[in-house]
Amino acid sequence: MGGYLARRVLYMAFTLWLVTLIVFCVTHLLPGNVAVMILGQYQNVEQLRALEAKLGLNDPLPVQYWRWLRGILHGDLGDSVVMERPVAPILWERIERSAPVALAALLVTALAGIVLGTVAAVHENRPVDHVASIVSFLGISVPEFFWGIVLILVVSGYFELLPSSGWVAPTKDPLGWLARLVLPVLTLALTLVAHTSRLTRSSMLDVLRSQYVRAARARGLSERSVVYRHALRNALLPTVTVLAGNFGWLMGGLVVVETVFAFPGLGGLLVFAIQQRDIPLVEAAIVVIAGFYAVANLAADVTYTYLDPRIRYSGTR
Amino acid sequence: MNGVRGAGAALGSHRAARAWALVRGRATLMVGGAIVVAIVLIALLAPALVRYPPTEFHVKDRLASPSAAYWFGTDEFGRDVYSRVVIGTRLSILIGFVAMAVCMGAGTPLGLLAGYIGGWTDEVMMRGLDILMSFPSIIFGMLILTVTSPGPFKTAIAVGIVYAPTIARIARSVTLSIKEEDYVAAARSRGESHLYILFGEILPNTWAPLTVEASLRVTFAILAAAALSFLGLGAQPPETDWGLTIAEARKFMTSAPWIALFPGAAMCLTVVGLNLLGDGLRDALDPRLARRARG
Amino acid sequence: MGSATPSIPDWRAGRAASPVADHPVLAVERLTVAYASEGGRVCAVDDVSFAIQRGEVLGLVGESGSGKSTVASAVIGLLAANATVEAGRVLIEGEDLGALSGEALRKLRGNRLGVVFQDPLSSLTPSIRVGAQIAEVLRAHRGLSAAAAERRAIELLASVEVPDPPLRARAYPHQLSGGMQQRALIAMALACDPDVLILDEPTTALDVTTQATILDLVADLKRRVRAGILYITHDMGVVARLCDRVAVLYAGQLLEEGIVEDIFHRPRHPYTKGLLASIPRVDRAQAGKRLPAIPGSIPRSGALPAGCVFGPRCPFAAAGCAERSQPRREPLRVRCERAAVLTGAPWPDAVPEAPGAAVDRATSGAGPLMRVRGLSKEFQQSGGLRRARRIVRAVDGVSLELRHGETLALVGESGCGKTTLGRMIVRLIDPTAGSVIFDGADLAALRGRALRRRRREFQIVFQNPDSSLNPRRRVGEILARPLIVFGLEERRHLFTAIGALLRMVHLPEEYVNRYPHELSGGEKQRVAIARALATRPRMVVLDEPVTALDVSVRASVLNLLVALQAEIGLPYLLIAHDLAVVRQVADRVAVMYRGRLCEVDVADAVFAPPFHPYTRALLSAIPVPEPAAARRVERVRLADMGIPSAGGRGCPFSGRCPVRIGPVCYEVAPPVRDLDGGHTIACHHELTTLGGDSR
Repeated sequence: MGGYLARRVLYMAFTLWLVTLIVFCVTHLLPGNVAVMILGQYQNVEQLRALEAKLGLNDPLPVQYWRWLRGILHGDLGDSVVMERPVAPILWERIERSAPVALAALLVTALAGIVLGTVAAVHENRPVDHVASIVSFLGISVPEFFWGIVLILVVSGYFELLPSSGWVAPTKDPLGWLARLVLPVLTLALTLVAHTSRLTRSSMLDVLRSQYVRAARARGLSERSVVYRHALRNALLPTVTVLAGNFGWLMGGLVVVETVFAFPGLGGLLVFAIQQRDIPLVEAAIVVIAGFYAVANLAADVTYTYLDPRIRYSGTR
Repeated sequence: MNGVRGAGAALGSHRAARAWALVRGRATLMVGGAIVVAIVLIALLAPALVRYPPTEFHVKDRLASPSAAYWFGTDEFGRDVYSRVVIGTRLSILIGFVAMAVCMGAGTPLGLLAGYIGGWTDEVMMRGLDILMSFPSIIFGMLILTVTSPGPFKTAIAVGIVYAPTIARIARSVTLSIKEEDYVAAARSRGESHLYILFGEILPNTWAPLTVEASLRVTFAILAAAALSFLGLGAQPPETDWGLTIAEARKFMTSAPWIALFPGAAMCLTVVGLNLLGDGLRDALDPRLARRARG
Repeated sequence: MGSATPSIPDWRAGRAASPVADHPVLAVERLTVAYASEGGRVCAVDDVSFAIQRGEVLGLVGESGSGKSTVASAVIGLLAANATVEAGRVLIEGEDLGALSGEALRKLRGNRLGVVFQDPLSSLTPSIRVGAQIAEVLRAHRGLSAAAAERRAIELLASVEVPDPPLRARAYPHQLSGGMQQRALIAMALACDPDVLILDEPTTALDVTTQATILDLVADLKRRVRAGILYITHDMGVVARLCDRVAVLYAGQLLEEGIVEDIFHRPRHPYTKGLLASIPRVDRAQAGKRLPAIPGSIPRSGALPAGCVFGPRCPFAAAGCAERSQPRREPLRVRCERAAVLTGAPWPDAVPEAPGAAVDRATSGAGPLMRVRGLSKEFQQSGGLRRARRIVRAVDGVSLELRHGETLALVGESGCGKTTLGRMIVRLIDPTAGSVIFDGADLAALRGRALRRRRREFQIVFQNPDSSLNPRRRVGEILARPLIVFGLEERRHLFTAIGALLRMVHLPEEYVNRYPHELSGGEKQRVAIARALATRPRMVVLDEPVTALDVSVRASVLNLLVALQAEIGLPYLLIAHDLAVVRQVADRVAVMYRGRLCEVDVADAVFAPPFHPYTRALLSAIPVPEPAAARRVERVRLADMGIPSAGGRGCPFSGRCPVRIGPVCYEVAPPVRDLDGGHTIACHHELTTLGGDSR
């Protein structure tokens, strides 16, 4: 198994390297002069030349790339053009704010999704299942930004239960901090729970119909034992993979949700950077996000090997 | 006949359960199909269906709630929300379809080829697709749209590119399983050309599973395109689509919620219709033989 | 091995079977089970009754669609959700299962009722260790503590002759061989000393030699265990070996029931007669290649014929047979109203062949049509980060000849490389080394256009009829394709050509417009044969052509192949694992083991001494469909896995060989000893030592 994991880690590193390459290429090779993008259309030639020199845009591309990559490896993510400060601390600050939201959403998704999916599968075709199906169907059909808006309208606007935007430091106002997390987490989780529970349900149904579950029942084992000891672990395999994929969606969802709730996190930073054409910031943020995603996938691989002994012992199924 | 009750339930409830399953399968397909067709029709006939020109300001009636004059109310400039929603249908549907077309058009051949050729080509292609998939989709879309100026078509294409790897994976796994069938081996033993085997033997058997999977994934693409629109990277004013309308309406959420709710409802309806259609297709095309009783 | 928990009866303590009262442990009375499917109500089991006493084995024999698995499911109480027991009841020790609650039924399963299913790997939960799964049953039903259950599980594994039980108990299912997995499942079923043991085709998924060891185990259990055993199978040889009484199912009906000697020597129902007559025998020399066959195919569950279900296929059918459904006739216990009249009447013989045709072919003077020399195929198993890539030699330096007009059979168990060899010859797989000289050209070396042009001269028929025809194409299109590809017919003559092909395989011309899913398994296989013949090949490779077909259909397809060969003089390379089929239709036989040839000879000589040790083990492992003979045979016992011979040059069989000489067998390639007449045996032993008992 060590070999399998080592292979996955190497692969992840390779993937991340390619990600940096792609990000760099997209920003520098697509139409549009970077300096023009930053300064906008109304610039004069001298300002343009000065900026180009400052950004080192006159060097050949591979050199620029190498300079940037080396910076990343040393933790120097460049300087924001708009804010004229190093990028890394800005990013870090925003990550600290967004991380609780993302992790909480993921946790809620995992728990609620797996539980709902399992319950629906075990009670297939009974009322519980039908209700769960309808709810999850709505969950995947409604865009998350719309959920967010509706939640604001209902919870903040009509019932006035929770604030609808902003962020306060947890050290200064813990309750306020928590209150401002609820709606964004809920918005993110709603869609994800729907997906995860659907998938868990269908995977669980497949497993419950399998021959080994039938054989377990034929041995007179209790239904609880059959479902939780025999079926669940094997049914969770696809769910684990999807949860990792959910992490990626989550990153994108953060962007949207933070816009809706005016939450000053990583997503908001990315939107700001894009609107301001702050290329170094955009590049750095995307690479960091892709990095998180890759780590999440690796974690999924580890969990996978734990769940499926066939991979653990032979490297393949 | 003594002691009729056995392990199965009574025959009566079985008949009911079976009938319900049949109807439910067909109903899903029909309802979903009806919704999708209706929305496409609305998109096509949009100019004829609006009540006021969508860009016309009615400043006197700004922020009016829904009434007989303005079915869905008006927005902050006094524009008729109903008309804007109807006109927005065109772009929203167009973006969705273009995204779907790019997604399937790019992903399917790649997956088929990777699955069929196998070996190094397959490895390389799959690694490449893995890399693409390691970008969260919306973010990749944002990246592309940053460096090229945003617009509805570019959004659609960006989303299509982002979801193509998923479709390619599905096409690849379907191809891999069909490649193992003996009738493909029989074709090879006749010395058939690769082109014939791919298009004559394998492809006809991939339609069904591919359609089912694709119709379910395509809704993700549509939702992603809507999110990008919401972020301002889709349709640009004065053109309108639903995502943009909702974004513009955020400021007035508490004072005039109808501006955002109606386009949102329209979007939900579309996606619900597509999901129902996908589910219905899956129920219809799935090997029903597998569910038939084995004697 | 004194039991620490005296409450568990220890059936290993060698108790004789308790005296049998006239009190069956399992009784099925007039059971009728129907499924609710999309086409309406489908009756899977129709008025079936039988009883089993303690210590007795009842064989439930049936092909696909016979309802035997449904009967088993009904007894366990695990019918599918859309199945209903419409009538009848199941009694265990007099207790009506239908009257029990779900919970009471659950307590019965695994406790008083043990079940072993067909495919051992898919009956074990992949994520739980084997020992833990056995212990779980003990804890659920006997309330043992975890430690006690684990100890008992190891004891149980030992009692079913699993080597090194503590090691195996800690293993996951996929780490065990098929035979060991099945033993573990048998141990699980016996864990609580059940009253009834049901074995549903437990050896069908296993190799012949592994099957023999499991059958030995079951025979042994029969002596020692108190339970009544229901053994479900379609293999008459197994029935003859194990069963005391037999019940024959067909299309959901119980057609005949009786003690095993009566069933085999004095069958009463025409179906039983036909079944027994149409099975090829490994212990009898052939007199002509054709078998008496049962015409037609098994009716589909939803479309049973009116009157007697077997009527349309029965050569003894009279006017009344199609009108009246057949009730059970006591005391004969046969569902046939003409049974008394037909007592002693044998199933009609096969049409005799033209005399002399078979003999001439094997010794035909002209040189061989195809000569294979040193053919090898290596596969690389990628080891990931570990640099060592294991090379697997699926086929290792095989040489043989195919002569004009003959049938050469390539025999072996799974993994011996026979399928790989067959596919290399038709160039579906590229050989790693060696040559295939076919009519002057080396097929192994051909490329591109030259290869494509020659492809029409050799064709292949695959094993699985469901997968060998493109489900989206009609029969006519499937048959037309080879004609078009090789430019054999002009467009306007296509239709007639296809018609001729269909007639050649005895299929009606209307089938041109049918899709494969509208045909039965036997009919699909005939289409596959017609497709192979369309190019007028000079040789056909038959890859297990009848293995996937129902037993009652095999004989007619085999007869077809034999007839076609007689008509056109077409040589076959027949790949098979069933030695009985081989003995019936082959002229010469080649026995393979782990990629190398063990023995090659004229058919009859292979079945007589001198034997290669593997051939001898193989022959002794096959259960013969005749009770006395099946039980008399002294079996050559092989270890389940043995020590693999480390891919060296030694004999591949050395790890399991019961007459292994010593290190020379592991290290030195065995010499190929040539007897006269082209008989070769690859073994270090002298030929005189290899003469064993013949059957």
